[in-house]
Amino acid sequence: MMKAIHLLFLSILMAACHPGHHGVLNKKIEKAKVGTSSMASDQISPELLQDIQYEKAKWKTKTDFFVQKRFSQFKENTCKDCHESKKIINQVGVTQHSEIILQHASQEVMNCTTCHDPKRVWQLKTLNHFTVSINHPYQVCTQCHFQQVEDWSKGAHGKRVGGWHGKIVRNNCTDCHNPHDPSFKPRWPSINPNGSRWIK
Amino acid sequence: MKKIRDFLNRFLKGKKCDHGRDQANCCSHEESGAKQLLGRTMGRRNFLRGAAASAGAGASLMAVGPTALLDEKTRQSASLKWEEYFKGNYRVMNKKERLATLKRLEELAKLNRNENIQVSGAEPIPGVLFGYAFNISKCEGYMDCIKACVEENNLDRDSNMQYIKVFEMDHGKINLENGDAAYFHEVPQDDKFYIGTQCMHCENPPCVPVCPTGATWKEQDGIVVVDYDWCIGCRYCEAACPYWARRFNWGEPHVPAEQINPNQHYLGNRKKSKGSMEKCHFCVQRTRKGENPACVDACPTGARVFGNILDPNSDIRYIIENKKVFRLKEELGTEPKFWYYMD
Repeated sequence: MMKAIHLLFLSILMAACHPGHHGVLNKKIEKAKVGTSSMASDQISPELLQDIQYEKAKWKTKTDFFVQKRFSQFKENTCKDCHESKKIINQVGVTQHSEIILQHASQEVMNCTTCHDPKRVWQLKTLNHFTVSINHPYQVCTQCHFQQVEDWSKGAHGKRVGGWHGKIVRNNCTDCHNPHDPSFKPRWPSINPNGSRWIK
Repeated sequence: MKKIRDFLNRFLKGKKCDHGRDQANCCSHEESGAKQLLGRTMGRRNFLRGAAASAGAGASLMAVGPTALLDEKTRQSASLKWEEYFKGNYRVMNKKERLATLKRLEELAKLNRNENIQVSGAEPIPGVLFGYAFNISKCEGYMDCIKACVEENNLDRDSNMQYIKVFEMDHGKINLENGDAAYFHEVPQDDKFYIGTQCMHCENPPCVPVCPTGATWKEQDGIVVVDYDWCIGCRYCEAACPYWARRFNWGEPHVPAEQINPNQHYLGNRKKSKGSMEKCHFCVQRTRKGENPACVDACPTGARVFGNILDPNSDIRYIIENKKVFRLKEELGTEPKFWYYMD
């Protein structure tokens, strides 16, 4: 009994001598490892992914994730109207789609058919002529930008849609980057909604 | 003392109530002010509240004049304000008291400012500890996060209040004191990089123990919150914060009526008053519903990542475990839950 009291006293003393909070976070994380997914809650809004069309990513990761569908943003048929029924086959330098100015690598490296399948223009292709769905453009991007796609697949690059909870739905590469002109452009910063600068 | 009380009880012919207690001692009944005062031991707060119910009404009528008798709206607003004035600290309120104050705030907003708002009291989700990661290789300094934050959190437009600051920094230097948060030119500049700061939601927050009224505390999900009505505006927390994260309302905050965000939280983006302290609260009104904070959703470059650091499969955990990360002023032992990383 006395021993127990001594021990208790000693532990209180020791705790008092070390007021540091180093590793509090680590301890919390370690502790949580035992039972991880105990975070289901009725507070979570079920509507977060309601307006988003997504499908499972074709990518190997520890945790499954989904990508936003691109065919929900434009119609597959729009391509097919010309390129299938009217038998228009893409040729580099043809004046069709003159609104697209390719600012992606140099002419020696890339042209339209580097990514687009000339026979089925509503689909993409890899350098080795494997067909890739337009819903999964990262399979094309990763041929050069493998580090970025690797980061993206795990959440360190790009954006997640529909909140932090539940199913992981990621923006496709092409949701943020224009594939024909992928860099972000310089512009003026945002201002206060009242029309003034933040700090003068 | 007890004898006197018993005598008075008998004198007032206290009836037995449903609970078998003297009616004067039973809290579930509406009683006259006199009986309340005699029959119960009372805190200062309850006493004042009770006294106000009888005396206050009369006094205010005399002051305002007889027209006030007719104005139902004024009377209602005054009584709600009175109740609000004597409410407790949100942290120690029970469920019933919390619901009551949430309802009062909604009613007051409707009566006084004609705003239809919903004030939530959503509690922390068990098993969740929020963390934030900021990619300094990706931030381009567009400041869209600041705009989204101001609009989401009903921040004062007049004083240009902003929770987030984005610093323009010279390459190779990381001292934020040399950063420029007031830049206004086309971004990004070639020789600069950009780094955003806001409340770091420390696991060991230095702003909390200095508060003399207990108006700020860390919630179970790691968010450091402020009870704006319990804050007395001493600004000790502002001085204690090593990250300059806290903001003070020098004047009455002003938000144009059409720009009010009606989805509010008691500890989050509801209207603050002059003389109260506020700061980033990880958009508690959004994140406890599973959404991302407004700044994360607004960022056009994906430089901001938010998530549950207790979930080993979350994006934020991947970043902390696998990328080159650092935190600001780590040597202070504040354990901020805000990591910076780079590609």
